[in-house]
Amino acid sequence: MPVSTLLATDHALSSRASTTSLRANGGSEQHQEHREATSTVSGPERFLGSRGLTRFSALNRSFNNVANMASDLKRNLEKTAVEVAKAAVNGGGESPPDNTPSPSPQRIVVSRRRVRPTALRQSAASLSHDDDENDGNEHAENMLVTPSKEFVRALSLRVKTQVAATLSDPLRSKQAHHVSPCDEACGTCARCQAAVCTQSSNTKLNDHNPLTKRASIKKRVADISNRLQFPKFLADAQTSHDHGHDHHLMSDDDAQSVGTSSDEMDDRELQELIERQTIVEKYEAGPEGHDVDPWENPDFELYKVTDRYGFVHKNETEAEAQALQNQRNLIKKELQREAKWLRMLQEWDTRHPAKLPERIWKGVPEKLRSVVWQRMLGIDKFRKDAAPKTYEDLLMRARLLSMDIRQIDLDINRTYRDHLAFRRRYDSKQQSLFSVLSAYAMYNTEVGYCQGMSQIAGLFLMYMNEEDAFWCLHSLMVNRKYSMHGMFAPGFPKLHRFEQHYDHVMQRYLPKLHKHFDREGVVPSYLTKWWFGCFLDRVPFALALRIWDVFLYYGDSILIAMAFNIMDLHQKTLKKLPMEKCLDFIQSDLARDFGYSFDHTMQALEKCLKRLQSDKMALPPLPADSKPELPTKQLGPVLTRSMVDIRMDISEVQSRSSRANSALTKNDGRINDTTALLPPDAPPEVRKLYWHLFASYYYMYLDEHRRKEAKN
Amino acid sequence: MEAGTSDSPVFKVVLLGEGAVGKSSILLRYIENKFNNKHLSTTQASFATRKLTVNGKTVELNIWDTAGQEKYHSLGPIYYRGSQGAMLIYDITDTRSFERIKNWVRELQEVLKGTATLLVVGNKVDLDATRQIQRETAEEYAKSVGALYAECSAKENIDIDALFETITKAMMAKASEVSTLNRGASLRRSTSRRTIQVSDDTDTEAAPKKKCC
Repeated sequence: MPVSTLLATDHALSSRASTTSLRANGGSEQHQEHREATSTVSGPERFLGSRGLTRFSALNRSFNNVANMASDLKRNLEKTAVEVAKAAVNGGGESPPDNTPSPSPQRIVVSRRRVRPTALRQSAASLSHDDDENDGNEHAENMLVTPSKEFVRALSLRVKTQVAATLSDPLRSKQAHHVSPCDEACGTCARCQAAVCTQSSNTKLNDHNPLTKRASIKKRVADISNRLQFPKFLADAQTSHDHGHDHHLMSDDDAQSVGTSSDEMDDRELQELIERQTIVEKYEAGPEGHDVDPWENPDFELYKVTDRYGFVHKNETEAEAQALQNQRNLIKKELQREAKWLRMLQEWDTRHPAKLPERIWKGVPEKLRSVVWQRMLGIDKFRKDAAPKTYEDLLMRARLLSMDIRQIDLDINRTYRDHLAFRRRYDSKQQSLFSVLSAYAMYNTEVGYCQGMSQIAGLFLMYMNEEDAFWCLHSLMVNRKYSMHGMFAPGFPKLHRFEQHYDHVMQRYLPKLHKHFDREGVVPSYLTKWWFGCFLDRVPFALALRIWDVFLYYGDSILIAMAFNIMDLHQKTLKKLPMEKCLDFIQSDLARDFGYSFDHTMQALEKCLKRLQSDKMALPPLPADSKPELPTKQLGPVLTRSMVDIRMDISEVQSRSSRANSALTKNDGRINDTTALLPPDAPPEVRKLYWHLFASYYYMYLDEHRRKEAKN
Repeated sequence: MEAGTSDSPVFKVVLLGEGAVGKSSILLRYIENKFNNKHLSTTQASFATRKLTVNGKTVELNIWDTAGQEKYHSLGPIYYRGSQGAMLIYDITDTRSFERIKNWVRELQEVLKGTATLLVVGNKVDLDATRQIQRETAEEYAKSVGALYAECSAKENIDIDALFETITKAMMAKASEVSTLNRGASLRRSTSRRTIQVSDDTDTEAAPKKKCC
């Protein structure tokens, strides 16, 4: 099976998964919509909301089903194929059943090293090559054994029927192969192992219940890896020929050597794998899927009033203060402005509207923010330039590989928990936030995930769907107008550059305040928070939105101008305060009550910006070349790897662990499948063949199956 | 020394540690006696002050809370420079967070050269059932680097006040030692211009080595 087909099916598969993961939330209604969705505790909305995730877990489950099948395969192939395999291994002795040049038996003597995932990948790549050229000698070092064509055909046929059977009726295929242990229950013979496999696959029937599913993640990992192992008959044929040793003794040796040699790196890798899997499952299961620590969910009783943006306040006075900003006449005004904006948006299709800047300063109407913001960020261009399905492909990979998931999970737990959409742990918007951040961390690998990004992504998600939010985040990072990449990149080069410039601005325009700060020892530590989130959380939310409107229009000069503006507006107050009070004022007082009306603040900001611009002080000098503030590495390097490869690597890590486990806990009934494990010295050719057939048929049939399902 | 609004000496204390070990929670519990589990992540170091009386003396603590993600490590110096005390907080149920404080200790020893009192803090003792780091292990480590050791729980309000008392006592002891020896308290000027008993002298590297109670 050529790799190209594999990749093609892989793509088809991901597209299927992705179409569902994108909830088409139409712009302005979206906010209202999720408010309803989140306030309804149960009902179909919830499932709609997390359909993408449910779909993904279904996919995962199917993979496990097929993995179950792999264990069946081991048993069924035994009778028919063992001779063929022996023939292939014995090679030189008898005449091989086909014309393929067979290497001499001595070459089969096996190196004891474990085959690393990279080696697997390489050999997989070389296989596709061989298919075309039919010339294995180029890769002589990988070609320890060349299985006969008949063997390949037999294996292929079996895999094919098995995959088909499993996918069309997983329950029956499992029951059909029920096996009881042998009389001695030795645990090592084929029957006993088959029994163990059947047991584990029977317990898998409860998989659909997330609670039982989560019962023991470790056990599940072990189960999967056991079922994904190399066919036992091949191992048998080989070891008996090789040394004539009792095969399970030998595998015990193997297991021990693996167990002791599993160095810290391996442990860490596995640990991370399990951790990642656990976290991903929590988000897949959603808010009711499992035992959320009660204190992880906010106390609903505390909240009484929600403002128009979806934030819940603890007491009514706070909400009243909010309401003051949104008096009736203001809302009336906004309605009128909406009409103007709608006309202007049409104009914008053909040319840049002359009235745009003026209207931006007055604030983008709440209902149109999602459209206007996306337009200003120019996300269509980024989306078009990227490969199709970039987001979905990233998402699938991130769930399996992302190293940032732990930190992302921690931060989602504390991002906008006072907002309706984010208050419920693992609810749909939290799931979206999780997806956007983990996918982006795989895309822009220089930044990965950096604290502060969750607020930004959260803000976008209040106005748009997952994928749009992803591209908005990306544009914000790499679009030269904003280049927030430099803010979040290691060492924060842009932060330092802007900090220096801000100091110049203060010295020049507010010398007295600057002096006061100097004397008091007020360090500009507040700038990090101000700039990373463009004043989110440090000014009232409604004002932050207005700042974002102009920020997205004018770009990063707003960061300096607004910082200057705040200092300018509040200089009298600040000059009287000692250091501690200054910082308190900046970090909490302003967020509670900014002290000026938002319109006034925005007018002042416009003046500040114009003043800085006319003095050529709006932006610091461009960065020195030594510290690039835009990505220098390729975006989304992980996209070049197929899902098959990734799955193979993961099962490699898992099997390492189960080998180590079985060496350590040999008498533990859970994992006593030592002899069935892929021997560390299995010829790469056989390994890769096995995997290849397995993976390709899996994807082909899965695809077909889904198509049928869709028809029904 | 002109201690701003009051005459009490001011100590600067910085909270360091991996993300989500409970730095902000400890601070919140200490300052407002609240445990708010939905708190925001600390990207800007936030800042709080509190007065307390130890051994009949009133002192003021300026406490700086820092962001925990590894990526923010490079901003650390801005906060710990000029501090007289550092709390190195880890989560007793998380081995990684314990490893992380070792990095901080190394860095602080290099940069502050023993001028600051270090307090290693194991948080979340309410989760003792899933403890990963044994008290003895941590205590031993703290001793080996000349740091104090304490355990607490911000969630259950266990020993939070004691934490700050312990570090304050040690900082006071160190400060008086410095002043009696008439060593230039190499405590910074810029950020904490109002340091304690600054005796203007030439710079001395030989600040007193480790001092614990």
